[in-house]
Amino acid sequence: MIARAIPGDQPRWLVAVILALIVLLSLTPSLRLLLEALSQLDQGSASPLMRVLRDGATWQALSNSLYTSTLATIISLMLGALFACSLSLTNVSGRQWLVFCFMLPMMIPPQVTALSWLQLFGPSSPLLNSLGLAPALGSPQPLYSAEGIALLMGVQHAPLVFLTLRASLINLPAEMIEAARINGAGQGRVWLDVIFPLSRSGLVAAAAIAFVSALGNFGIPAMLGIPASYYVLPTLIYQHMAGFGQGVLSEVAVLSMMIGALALAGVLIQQRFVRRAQYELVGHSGRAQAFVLDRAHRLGLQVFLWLLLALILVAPLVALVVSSVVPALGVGLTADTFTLNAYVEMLTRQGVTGRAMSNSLVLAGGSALFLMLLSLPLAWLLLRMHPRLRTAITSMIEIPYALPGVVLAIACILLFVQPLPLLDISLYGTLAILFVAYLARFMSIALKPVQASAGQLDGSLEEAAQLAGAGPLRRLLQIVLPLVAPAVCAGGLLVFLTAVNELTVSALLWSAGNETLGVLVFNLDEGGDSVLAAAISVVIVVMVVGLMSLLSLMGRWLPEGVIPWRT
Amino acid sequence: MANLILDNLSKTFAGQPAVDRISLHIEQGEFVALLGPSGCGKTTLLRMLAGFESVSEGSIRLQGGILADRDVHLPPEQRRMGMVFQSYALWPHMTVQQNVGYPLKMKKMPESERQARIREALEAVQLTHLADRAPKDLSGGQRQRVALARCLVTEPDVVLLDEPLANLDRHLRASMEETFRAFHRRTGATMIYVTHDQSEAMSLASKIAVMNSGRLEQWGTPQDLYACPRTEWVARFIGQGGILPLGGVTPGTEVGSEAVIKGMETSFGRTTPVLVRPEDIRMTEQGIGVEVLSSIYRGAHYELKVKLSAGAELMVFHHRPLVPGDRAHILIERGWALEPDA
Ligand SMILES: Nc1ncnc2c1ncn2[C@@H]1O[C@H](COP(=O)(O)OP(=O)(O)O)[C@@H](O)[C@H]1O
Ligand SMILES: [Mg+2]
Repeated sequence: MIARAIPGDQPRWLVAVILALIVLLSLTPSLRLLLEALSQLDQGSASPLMRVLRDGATWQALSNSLYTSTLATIISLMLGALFACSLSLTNVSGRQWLVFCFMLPMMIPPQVTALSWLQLFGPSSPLLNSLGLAPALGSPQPLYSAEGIALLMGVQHAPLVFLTLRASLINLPAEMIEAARINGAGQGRVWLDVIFPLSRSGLVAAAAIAFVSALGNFGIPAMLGIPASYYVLPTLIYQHMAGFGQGVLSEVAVLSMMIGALALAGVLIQQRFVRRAQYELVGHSGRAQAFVLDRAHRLGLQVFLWLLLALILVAPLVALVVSSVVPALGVGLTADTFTLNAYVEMLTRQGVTGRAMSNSLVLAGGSALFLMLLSLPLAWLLLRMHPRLRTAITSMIEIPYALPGVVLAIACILLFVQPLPLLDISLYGTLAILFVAYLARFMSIALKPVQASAGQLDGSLEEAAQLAGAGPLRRLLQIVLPLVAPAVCAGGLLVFLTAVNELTVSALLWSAGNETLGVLVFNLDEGGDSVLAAAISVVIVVMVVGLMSLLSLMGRWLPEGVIPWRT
Repeated sequence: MANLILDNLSKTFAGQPAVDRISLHIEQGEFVALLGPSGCGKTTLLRMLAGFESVSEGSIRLQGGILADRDVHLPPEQRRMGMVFQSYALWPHMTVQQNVGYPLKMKKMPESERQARIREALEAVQLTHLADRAPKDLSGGQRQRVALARCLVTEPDVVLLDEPLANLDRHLRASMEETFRAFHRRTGATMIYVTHDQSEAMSLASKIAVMNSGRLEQWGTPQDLYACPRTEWVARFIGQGGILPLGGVTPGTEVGSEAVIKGMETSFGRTTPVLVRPEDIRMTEQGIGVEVLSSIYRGAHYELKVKLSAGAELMVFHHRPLVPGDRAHILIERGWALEPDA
């Protein structure tokens, strides 16, 4: 479906409804936040903006945010670059599995990641206790620190670096490397003179996206930082809201604006360099595998990569599973202590568990369905728009996804804390506010695969139907829909996968009776019920792996790049 | 003295032979074309010479030294070869000058000498005025010439070219062919030039290796290939003409006009394919009777397709058109007996 401006070809009411929906969901929350943050400036030094800027805690949290995010970015870059180079430039085998396992940390919700790593270290680690390696009781948990936060965020966001860098390495023509070899450059020189300069833009873009993600991460600094009273900007906002409630909304809005501005700057840098990376190599066709390793080196590299995965993925997950089958933390796992109590309790006794599960399923399923329905006509309209308008609308949809979750959450509170005008219904304190926030946040996830798939369709398919007398709606349903259906489903599944474990937005918007799965793990761990939290986390991980596998199976009907962990 | 020696060279990909037992002796300074249809293994053979592919069987030797065999594999950077890639492979982050100077940098040549060599190489391809441009600001033909200059600058023993003209338009090709000839005269390097275009190979190369499904069909001068192709396949692949099945002739020999007529009379039983080029046929008043199938104007002459009573078709050049369906007579002055295809 090549963009062609056929005036009057789109039903006007459809355009109007969809555009209105996008503006409402994507733009109003951010605008409301901006308005609040910049309000009462006439009060001078008593205005919220000035009060926040004068508060020492603000600057401490900002500096903590920058420190942990920078460190996390370095870790992500090292891990991501190692995997991207190994998997796209050499002939290691089993790449499908390596990619899947390496991508997994990104899909596992941060609070579960944090919980599993916490079970791996520290004096009460069931795994270490089972192995008899646990440090003495009372010794500190090493992960309750800035470096612990950075390490976990680094692991969680390394897949983003991997994806960005791999995209630029795959486009790197093997002939560029071969030309250097035949002109006398050894392997080392090739890295220095060709590969690094040509993937530099990709590296900058990768660093920017890793940094932005770390800046907005709430789950990990909340689980690891709050117990040590180490606050970053998102957790500071959370703490303010938890402590003082709506009274501090204006101050919190200022903090949100700060972190939002930082994130936006990062996103702009990322987009610029992604575009430049594409531009540099235009007109060349890439071919991977520039370095064909001999058997010994290849095996060596494979063993190294799998060992690394065992360390950053398997060990924490094993610790998590072990923690879920012991009676209490600090108890080692033996044949005698093994118990499935936590699982039984999760399914039967705890009323809040069942409620959170069904809330999350309803919310995630509802948003996935709604966004699937929206994404088809939206993608179709976008392709027929003037390119400028299309870019503007796509960027608008991107905003709530690119902004850190806390920012969107605060914006939604501001928007809905008063009853809706005219209708006089209050969304605050209901599931509905979560639903609206999810729709805004995940629209871009649902839209991208459909846009990619629809963009590949040949415009003549639809033109033939048009000549046969089919109107726009009929063409959309009978020609376009069957062809892009796999992408629509993939978009829906991705939304479900992301929404069902969502923590950051939910942590600020949930209310009693309206808990979600992500919040439940967080609350249970905060309340000291780590065994139950671990059991729920195990269920979540199983669900994530299952959904990811399902998406992998769908992969061959989808355009390249829709499913990140498929090569 | 043979300089570059390919001995029983083979390459298999997952059990499938891509290059199959090829042996060639290439003299110093020769301009060799590897000619064959797409997929016949030309690129694979070239990449084995460069060192980008390992050798499955056989060996490659250059000036007595071994470059590769089943156990040895000299890396590309140590082979003293130059290569012009189909996509040119100019590094986009370096200027024209830096691209051309890179091989010298790898040789750790001092700066002043390097500058002189770069200038000389750019002069040879007439690009001195573009030395500071980025590759993306050059036209296709200019990029090609930068790639050549990068090759020329180190004076390599062997220059490998993989379909260097495939990405250029027809007009540019003629002028680039001239550039290659000048390049060859100037450097005296051994050139190995891969192409699927027979006219390109014929006009450039002093020796041609015709390849088919990974095997060497024939190895000879362009004149040899045209006048005396070894097999039916080569005869069909190179030049125009028709093939007659004739009795009583020996493959690999010339067939005179009487032998042709005699052969046609004994064409039942065992026959041998005989190539007849259009320029070896004359229209006469009497002779072999044929039916005209088509008549196409080609500027210098009309190209007639005619059918013999036995069913074989031949091509004839004539100074005036004939109407399809007309009867005519031809005299075949010379034919070349071929080995039938396996
Ligand atoms: N890296 C490779 N892996 C597997 N098969 C290959 C590879 N490179 C080439 N081939 C196969 O070898 C045969 C010859 O290819 P190639 O040398 O590129 O032919 P040409 O250059 O004459 O068109 C083809 O059948 C091709 O599919
Ligand atoms: Mg080829």
